[in-house]
Amino acid sequence: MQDTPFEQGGLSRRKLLGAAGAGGLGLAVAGISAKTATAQKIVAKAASGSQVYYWCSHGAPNDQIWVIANQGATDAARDLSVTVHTSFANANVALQEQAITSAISAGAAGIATSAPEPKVLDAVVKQAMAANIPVIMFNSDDPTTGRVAYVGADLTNAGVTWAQYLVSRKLVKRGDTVWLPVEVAGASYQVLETQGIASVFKPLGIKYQVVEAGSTPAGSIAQMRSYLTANKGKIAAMIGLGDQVMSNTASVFKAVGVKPGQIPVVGWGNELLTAQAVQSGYVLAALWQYPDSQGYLPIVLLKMISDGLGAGYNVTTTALYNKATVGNYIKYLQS
Amino acid sequence: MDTPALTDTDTDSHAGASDHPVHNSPAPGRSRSPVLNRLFARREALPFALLVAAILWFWSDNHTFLSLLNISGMLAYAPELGIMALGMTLLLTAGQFDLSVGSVFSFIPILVFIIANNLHVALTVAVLVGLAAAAVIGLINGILVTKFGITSFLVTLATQLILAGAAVYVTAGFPEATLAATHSAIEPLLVGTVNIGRLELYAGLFWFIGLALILDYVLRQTSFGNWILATGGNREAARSRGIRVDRVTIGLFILTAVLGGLAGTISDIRVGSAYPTAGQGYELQVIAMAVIGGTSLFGGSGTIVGTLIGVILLQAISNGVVLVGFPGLAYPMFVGAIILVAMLLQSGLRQINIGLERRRR
Amino acid sequence: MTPTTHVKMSGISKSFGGVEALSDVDFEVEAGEIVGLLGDNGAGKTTLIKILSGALRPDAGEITVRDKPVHFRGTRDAIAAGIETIHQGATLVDQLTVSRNLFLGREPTRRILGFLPRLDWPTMREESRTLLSQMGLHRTVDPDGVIASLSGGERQSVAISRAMYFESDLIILDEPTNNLGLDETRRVLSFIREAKAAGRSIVFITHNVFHVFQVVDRIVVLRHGRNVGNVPAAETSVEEVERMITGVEAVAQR
Repeated sequence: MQDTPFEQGGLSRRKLLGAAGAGGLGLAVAGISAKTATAQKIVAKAASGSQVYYWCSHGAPNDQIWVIANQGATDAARDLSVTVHTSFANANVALQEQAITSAISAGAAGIATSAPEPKVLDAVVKQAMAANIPVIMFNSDDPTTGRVAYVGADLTNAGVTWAQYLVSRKLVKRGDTVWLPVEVAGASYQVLETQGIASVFKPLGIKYQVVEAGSTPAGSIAQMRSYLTANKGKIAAMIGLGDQVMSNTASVFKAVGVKPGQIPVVGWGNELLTAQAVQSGYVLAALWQYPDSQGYLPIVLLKMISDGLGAGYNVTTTALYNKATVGNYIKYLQS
Repeated sequence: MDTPALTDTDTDSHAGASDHPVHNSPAPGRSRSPVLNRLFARREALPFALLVAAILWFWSDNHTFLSLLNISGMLAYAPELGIMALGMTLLLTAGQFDLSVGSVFSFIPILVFIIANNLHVALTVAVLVGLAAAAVIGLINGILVTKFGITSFLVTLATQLILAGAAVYVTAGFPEATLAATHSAIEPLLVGTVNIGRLELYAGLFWFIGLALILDYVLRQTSFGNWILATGGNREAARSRGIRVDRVTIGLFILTAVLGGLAGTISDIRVGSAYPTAGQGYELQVIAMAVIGGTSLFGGSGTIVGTLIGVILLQAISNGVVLVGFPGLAYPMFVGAIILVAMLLQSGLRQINIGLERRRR
Repeated sequence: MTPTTHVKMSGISKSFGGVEALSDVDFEVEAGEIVGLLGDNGAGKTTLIKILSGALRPDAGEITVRDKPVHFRGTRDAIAAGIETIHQGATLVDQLTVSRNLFLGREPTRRILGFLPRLDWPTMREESRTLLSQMGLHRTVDPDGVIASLSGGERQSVAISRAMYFESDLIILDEPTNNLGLDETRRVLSFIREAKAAGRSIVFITHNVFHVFQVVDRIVVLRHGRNVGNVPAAETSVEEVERMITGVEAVAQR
């Protein structure tokens, strides 16, 4: 039951900063991290001169979501008058470790990064924290690192949200099979989301099938189309585990002759084509991830720590939109 | 020294060898019809047999495989790879690799979309500019390989990275991935559809077939085709006969890049978006299609007909494994395994062919 | 009949980096003459003929063909001047048919439907058959067979007859009898004689002094990039030639 998160006239960064500073509207407080004590110690120490922050994504720079997140971090730097160095590890863990250790040796005021896999960044993050450099994770979390906080989607929770959406509206029942297309099978996002889905479906005896479609636009369309040609009569619903497969929904369904609403679809909704599919009824509800917040908010929180303000709570940046609320998102996507 | 002479021996097969009926007298003790002889010995025979086998297998398991809907789906996507494979075939025949085609496939339509959206020119103009840019990329590849003597593998690996980076950099600055303008004259030409009953055919298919016919003719029936074969088979011999091997090579790099740009533009307009992720990994798929069809990785022999078969075969396999219901996560495994089996069969049959050849002499 | 000079190279020098491959070399071939060019490895034989065939440009010196000075900018120019080279390994394309190899670079074409260029298959196959029968190979060699299926001697024969067919006046053979069996060597040597009988001039490069004596009119020896021997074959012996190659004998010009 999310309100539209947009202020009138579009998203205003300063207003959001104010809201964050007040610790109020639009943020979901997911509990105070157990490392509060450490966080406060960092708060005391980190109020030093350095105003340089490092923002390192584990992903590839050609992924739309990272382009937007990058822009968010850059905007935060401008708005807060600090310096932010952004970088992309392109799925190369060694490269990412290197980026973080350079940030540590450069005496960064704070580090924001995303975790490609659980545990792989444990060592470097602990190193940073030991050097009194606060680390905040965004987009994909790894609590075992001891990071101060996490900003982003809770992927397992996303899976739960989608599965519950279908169950609560009685769109799926015991014995049904739900199609879970994904770009890259085995990727951590796929695994976490599927875990969330399974936690809802398994006790109810609902089956699901994860299907890899590939990461190229044309190729994933072809694969999804092949699957639907064979299985359109056998699946009760579809949950798109990634943005690309979701954006293919309308064209693929049209190609095989599935009418809007004939097969219920939920999933990620960060692409314009997905939002349009929600408008036309092919997709019932889609999850917006606020990638710009995942770039912007970590810098805000890190600066707050630098300034001696407390910060140690997670921020979940997802909201489900449907046909009624898709309007604002379309505007944003078309800008 | 050149590649050992007898590894690639076939008599009456594909371009380079017999283009006309040869009256082989059957070896003593064997009576085979000369026509059948010729057909079996053709390098395309095996991939064709594999294609027929694959189609029969998939169809028998799931009749929807040959449904008009499914065929329409396969024919929508396959030509986009196929058009690139045609250029790659000729380039491989001339003894060169182009690993940058996937990035060209991705970058050129981005350029086209940006020009069309921001410079307010007709889409036709934007497309022509895009193809011209592709030609320049091919020219650069060709010059680096011929005049600077760097192996094509390394040159095109580098251009691939540069173009991929450019695609990302440019889209970060111009994030709109869709075409604002529509109703251009060139759209139906590139992505229009023809409906024959319930069969829906995209324009890309006709481009693919048309280009295949033209390039097959060039390779097998023209002197330029002979030069391509000689340049790949024995570059020094070709040069010593006065063939301008550098020009041939550069020309083929340009052709490959332009076809890559054309394929990418067709694909992205059809799909409706120009993302940097398009075309990833296509260069290897396209090389695989050419090689499975019978074109040699070492140069000197190539077959457009074989590539056509290779394109359809790989598309059929990708599609078929989905239809017969292999576990969703295992598709790439099965596609890879089937390709491996196809290559082993091909190699085995070639050894048998050579053995028969030697015995016949 | 007074012998006329077919090709004359004067004062040819060529260096690669700091290494002097050829130093002030004179080399002449008379019309209808077979000249054997000998020398040890690194003596400069290959460099000299690469210059003659247009693949390399000399640092100094001149070349005249039938008393006219020429400047070859590439192999095409040399071919146009009637000079044809048959290299080791760089003459025929293994994967192509005999027919396609014979016409490589000079493919006969027709226009079908008024504008479409097309290889003139009938001409190619007719001429190929003629050539092969001239060589006596028509029984065993099929114009539509690939070069790879031919023996070494057959390949050399194809290469030589190609040179002859296209009316090259001067045929340069670079180590043509390497790796050939007895029969095949005999066949190649007899072709060389036939080429001379047909009015061609031949430069025959080899290591094998014995082969040289079976066909050549004159012998030229290079050593360390210099011309150290230029004698009619009839006036010298295997031993003398070997001494010239290895340097025991001083310069001998006759």
